[in-house]
Amino acid sequence: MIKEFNYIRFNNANLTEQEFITCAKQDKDAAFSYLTSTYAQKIYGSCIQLLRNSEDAEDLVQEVFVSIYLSLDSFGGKSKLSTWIYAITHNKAKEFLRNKTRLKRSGTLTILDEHAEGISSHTINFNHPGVQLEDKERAAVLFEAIDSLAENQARAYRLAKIEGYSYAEIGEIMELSVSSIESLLFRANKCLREILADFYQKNKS
Amino acid sequence: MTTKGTDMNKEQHWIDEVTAVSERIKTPQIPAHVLERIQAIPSSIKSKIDLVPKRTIWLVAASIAALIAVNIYVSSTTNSTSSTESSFEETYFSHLKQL
Repeated sequence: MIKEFNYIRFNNANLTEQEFITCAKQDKDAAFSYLTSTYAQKIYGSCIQLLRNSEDAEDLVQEVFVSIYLSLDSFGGKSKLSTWIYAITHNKAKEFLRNKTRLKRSGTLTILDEHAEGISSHTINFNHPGVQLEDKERAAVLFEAIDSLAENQARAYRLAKIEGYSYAEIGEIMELSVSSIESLLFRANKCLREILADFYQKNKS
Repeated sequence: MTTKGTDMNKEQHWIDEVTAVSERIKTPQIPAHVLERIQAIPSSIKSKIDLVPKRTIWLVAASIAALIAVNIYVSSTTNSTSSTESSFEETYFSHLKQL
């Protein structure tokens, strides 16, 4: 089985959840290696989206993988691997921001679950390496607007529009049906446009 | 009316531009040094576990075993002492009754 697993790993094939569990039981390190080669890039992308700071994202992605390694045995295959990993990432990001806010108390950080009203006028520490230079200002406004949405709308919007997850994957992550995700995204889009319109009116002059 | 319409158009155009940013955001490449550190996680965790010498682990296990043994010994001794004491009391009281 390990031979088969290494063959799969080195050929970048996707393992099913059950295959992964079997392999993880036999060779934890090989299973972890499979996860790093398959998900490191995506998790790093998620960390950047959640923290919007590349240095913090570098720290967080390592914390996430330590957590994954330590809890590999607890993965029972009830959800998809990607969903399980995303849940760990999201929880770790929340914890990371909570600790950072507690330490700094600067007020310039955005707490993930915070639901603010409208776009605040304060400048945010915006350091997203995936945003092109000419888009930086607009992206900062967009992210602030997304943060102003209701928590589940913001989460669905980020996952769909920025991180590129499919509706089915978002449904699994958020434990909702695909049709619920569609309506959630419809409402998120509508609210986002209203928030942006409000921001435009306030800053027109 | 026309000015209002133009303003609306400008606003909608600006909103479209802002929301379109999400389509242009690229997932940044994970830095090589971060990937290396991630790949080294299993060995670093194992080395941390290895930091506790086996001798210490055995010593702790032996201490716990000795502690349990002493406890068992003391409790059994106490039981036998108390049973001896109670039998002595019984004899004493029965002797008193006889008197």
